[in-house]
Amino acid sequence: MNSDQIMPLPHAVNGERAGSGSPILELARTSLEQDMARRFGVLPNFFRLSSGVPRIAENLWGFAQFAYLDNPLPSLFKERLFVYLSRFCSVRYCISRHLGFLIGLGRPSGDPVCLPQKIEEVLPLLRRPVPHGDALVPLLKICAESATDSGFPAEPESAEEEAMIACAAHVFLQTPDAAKAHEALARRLGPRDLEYLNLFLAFIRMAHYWTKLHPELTLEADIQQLLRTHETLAECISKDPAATEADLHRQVTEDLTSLRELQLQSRLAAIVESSDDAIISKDMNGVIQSWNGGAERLFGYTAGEAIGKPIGIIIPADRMGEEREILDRLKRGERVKYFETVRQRKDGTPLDISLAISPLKDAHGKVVGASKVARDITERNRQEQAIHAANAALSRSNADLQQFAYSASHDLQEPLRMVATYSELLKRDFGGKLGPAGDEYLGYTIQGAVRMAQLLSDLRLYTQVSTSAEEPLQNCDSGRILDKALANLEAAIRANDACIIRTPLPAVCIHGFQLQQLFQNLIGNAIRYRRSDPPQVHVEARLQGADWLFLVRDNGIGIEPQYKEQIFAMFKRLHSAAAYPGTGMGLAICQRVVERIGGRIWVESEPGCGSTFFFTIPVRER
Amino acid sequence: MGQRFSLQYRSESGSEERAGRKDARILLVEDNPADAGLVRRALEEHGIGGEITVFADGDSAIRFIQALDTEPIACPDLVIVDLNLPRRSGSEVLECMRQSMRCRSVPGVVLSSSSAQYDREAADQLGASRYLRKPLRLGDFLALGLIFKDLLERRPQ
Repeated sequence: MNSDQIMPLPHAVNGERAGSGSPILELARTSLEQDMARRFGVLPNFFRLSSGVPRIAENLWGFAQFAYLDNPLPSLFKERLFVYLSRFCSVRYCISRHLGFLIGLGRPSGDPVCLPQKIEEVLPLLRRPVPHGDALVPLLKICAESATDSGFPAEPESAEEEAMIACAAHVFLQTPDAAKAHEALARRLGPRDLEYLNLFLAFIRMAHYWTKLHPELTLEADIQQLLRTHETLAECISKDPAATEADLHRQVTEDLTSLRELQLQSRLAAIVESSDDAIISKDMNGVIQSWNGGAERLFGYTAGEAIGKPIGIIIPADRMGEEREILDRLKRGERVKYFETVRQRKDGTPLDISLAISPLKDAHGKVVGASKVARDITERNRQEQAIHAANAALSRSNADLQQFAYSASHDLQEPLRMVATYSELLKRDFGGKLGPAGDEYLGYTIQGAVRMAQLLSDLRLYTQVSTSAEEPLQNCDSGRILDKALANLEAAIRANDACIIRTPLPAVCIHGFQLQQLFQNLIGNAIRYRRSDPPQVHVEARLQGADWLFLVRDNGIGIEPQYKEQIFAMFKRLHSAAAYPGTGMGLAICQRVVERIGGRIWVESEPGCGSTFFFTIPVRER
Repeated sequence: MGQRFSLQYRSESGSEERAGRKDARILLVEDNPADAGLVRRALEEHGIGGEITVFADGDSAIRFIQALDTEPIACPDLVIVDLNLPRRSGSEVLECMRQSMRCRSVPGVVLSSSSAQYDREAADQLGASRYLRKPLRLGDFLALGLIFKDLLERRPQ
């Protein structure tokens, strides 16, 4: 590479040899520029940018001297570092200019005693990438451990120099390893020299930035000629893959983006793999492209067996048409929503599955395949069937129970009637011949039979409430139904001298006979559970929201608050049959009637003053 | 063969003479002897004398009614049928009566424990004169005799 060795160019003079009449000094228009020219041996255009503002040029020059030229770090190290780091600046001025200083176009670090390098000595520096990862580890070690007395390596391209430049580059470029690199440099240099190195790096950074802010900056003539003469150098500088800082940042961004994508992909892959659902992709020819663990478990084929095979391996023969239709829809870019179908396992057993299929598109939006998610619903279907069966069985057993209760209450009535009538016949034919005790016993027999007959009759009414629930509800005039109920209660009303006060009542949607039962039971109770005053019963109805609210208010004995709910239970009685006759079924029937039509029944009462029974009947649009 | 028995009795008061009529012939189709006994008591209670022929199943009652048209047997003055009977139902007995030449106009009374509306309606359609529920209390049962008596007194002489 001797041919690459540069010869001093006519205008690039050694400062020591440059007299006041040299051409370089003639370029210097001010004393400041003369200072620079003397120091560098050339006049860099860099310092002539702010000539219109002398104070800026002055301070810039002051910073350059302090941080760079007069910085106590070794001159050759400084210049080689400047060159190396300038490779990462998008503007090619610094790399070119400092390469010039390094090979003798001007002086390295403005140091008159520092010998310039040959071009071939510089080329490795221009080509060496910044070591990362495993390549950096030994360099960090070398930098931190093999300290010389001065802290600086004597030889360019020595292992120590390479390590220090690499560490400085990491700090300069603020890579993720910058902190480690800085630590290694600190160990080697000690605090004072580390701070001088920091200062130098800051200056280089400033210089790069300054060149970016000044697009008018041109290369000096000596550098232009150098690059024209030496193609190798020119290529190293212009086509440096470390390229520009901007490119570096873009690279870093791209690296990070692709890293993030990789992470996302691997996370997605993990999700797909761990899914219990079978997740499969296929191309537009129906050839399986991917096959997750869920698919392996569901269909019995391993990924190795399935990938590359037609999707038809999991489709029963009679469902193939479905697949063609799906492919047609996917070609149109449509997503196939969940639908339930049948697929088959490797061993041929059918599987009930729910399936969702989405088209897969390439970067241009063209449909290139499909992803399908299949879920085994065999178990779900089995459970649904079991629930249906259980429901049907429950309905049947409910109906059976209703039927049983109805038949039992009916069929029990017959033998009971025999007991009742023949006991009475016995009393009639043989009364007085059995002795006083015999007559008494017979009396109890008759009483018991009659009471039981009432219970059975009420039980039948109660079961009728639900057996007649299937019949359509009628719109009935509740006033006329109250008339019927009162007619049935006429004997009780007369016997108790009861007074019934009523307001006009609405038409409501209910089984007429059931409403009659309701009135009959509530008014019957109001009369039966009387105090010594003649019973007064108010019946009225009000529209309340979406319901008719009916009230049956009496002036009877009332109900203790703790019994307000119990009284609606079947066979629940608060008084002896001797004191107040009844079966304990009346309010249970009322509650059942009201609840069957979606209403409510409750009582408010003050013991000793009377009770008010409320019930609601939903208003229905007809 | 249906069980067939006669309950022949005379009223103590000898009402047939007072009423100037021959004894009543009553056909009772009832499988429960206890109820048959109560019907007899009810008739007795209201001084109705005559003969009660009891069939304990629908089939034998129907054959008896059909035989009336061909054989010289006395036609009943009143038919009382339960509905729920062995072999053939009380409704079929009523239907058979309507088709019989001699029995067509004889009053038929249903005496049943059923309170179902459709049983009442079916009885009406088959031309039953009355639909009576078997009462629980003895007094009520015996009072049915008044209805039987009323129907017997309206029969053509």
